Amino acid sequence: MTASERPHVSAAMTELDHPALYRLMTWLSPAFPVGGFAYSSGIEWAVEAGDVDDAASLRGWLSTMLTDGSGFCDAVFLVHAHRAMELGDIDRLREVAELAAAFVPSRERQLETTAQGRAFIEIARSAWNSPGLDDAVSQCEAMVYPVAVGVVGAAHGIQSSLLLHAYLHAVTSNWISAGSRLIPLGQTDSQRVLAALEPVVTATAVRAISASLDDIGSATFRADLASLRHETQYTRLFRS
Amino acid sequence: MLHALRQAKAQATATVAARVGIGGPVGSGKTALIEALIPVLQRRGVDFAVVTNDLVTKEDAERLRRSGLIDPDRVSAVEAGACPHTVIREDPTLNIAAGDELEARFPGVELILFESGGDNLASTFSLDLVDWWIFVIDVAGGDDIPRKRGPGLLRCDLLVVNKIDLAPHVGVDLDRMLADARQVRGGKPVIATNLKAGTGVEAVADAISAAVLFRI
Repeated sequence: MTASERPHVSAAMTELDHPALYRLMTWLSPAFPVGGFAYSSGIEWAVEAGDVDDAASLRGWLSTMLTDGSGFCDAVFLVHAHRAMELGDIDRLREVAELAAAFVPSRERQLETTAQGRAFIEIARSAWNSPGLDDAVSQCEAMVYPVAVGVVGAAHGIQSSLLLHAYLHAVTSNWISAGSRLIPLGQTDSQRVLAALEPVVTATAVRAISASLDDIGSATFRADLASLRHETQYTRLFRS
Repeated sequence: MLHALRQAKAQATATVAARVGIGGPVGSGKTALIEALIPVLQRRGVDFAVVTNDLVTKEDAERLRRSGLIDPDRVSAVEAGACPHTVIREDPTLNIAAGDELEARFPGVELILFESGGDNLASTFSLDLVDWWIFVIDVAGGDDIPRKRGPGLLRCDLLVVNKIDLAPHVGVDLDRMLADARQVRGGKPVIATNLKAGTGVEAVADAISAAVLFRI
């Protein structure tokens, strides 16, 4: 973080009222019951194939997924879903939700993101009162996970950039959790990978916050193929 | 207690299936119990389906599907390898979705059995997921298991002690093991089974019927 960014971030934090902070922490905690522990985004195949076999290769793999893969794309979808919800533009929201669903590269990644999206909305709706959420949800056919987070966050008045940084960091953390169980890594190495990826998370979020839907694209062929190959992996701990 | 989702669905469709969990350590006989229950429940006219939580493969689901005992479409597999505890307790999202999906496909279904992935004595079921649950241990696991008072064994609605035929071969005093189990459970039910021979299966089916199907 540069010195010039600091005042901006601290100002943003004071704008966030305390209940909103609690919700952000809760919703993006690994303990939030959306089934996140059951998905590896194809990392299980990458480990099986030998592409990922230690902390350094996991860091490299995830850095690419963040910068050039589903990390960046999903970040942009979150921002645009949040914006549409904030403006009450349901037609726009429906378009974003459809495009986000269409961008998922494999059947199991589709299961991963739609099941988590559905669970996220259901549990958030059951435990917290979210004005306008029911209407928005009923207008969209399916909401993938980042769209669900964007929509629910907007319904609760949580600032887009904070929501996005928290989301990307949580997704990265979940990937590392999968990698650490599969490789396996010790807990210290896992935290080192997370620490090393902080600048990548930040850069991806900063790029996504001002990106248009036309900027979306990915170039993570091996990760996409891994998520396809995983469908036929016999012995597996994860659903994707 | 029923999950909020299912309450909403119950209002919409008027019927909702009872959900029964079957947990216990690896190899104690959870799948064998389901295989033994299938013909008994069918004979009693119970409309049911099964969700298996396989650890690292789809072996359990495939075993049931290929058994010829049940319509393979009525067996749904949830892969729970990453966290067999979590998927039935802290975060049963995947299992709730599998149950909802079976209910949607088989509208008359009145009972769904959830077989957990093989776990240890600490595993328990979330009451968001199931209405009532069974824990299966076996005599070959050792007669000290009841005395260890694991949460699974203490909290379950029905404890099944399986493989009673093996007791003399593994140096277990069966009567004492069952007495210990009843004592630590404060009188909650314990049923001894030999699932290979079918011993005790009717009693388990009776317990399920009385507890969640309201049939005696």
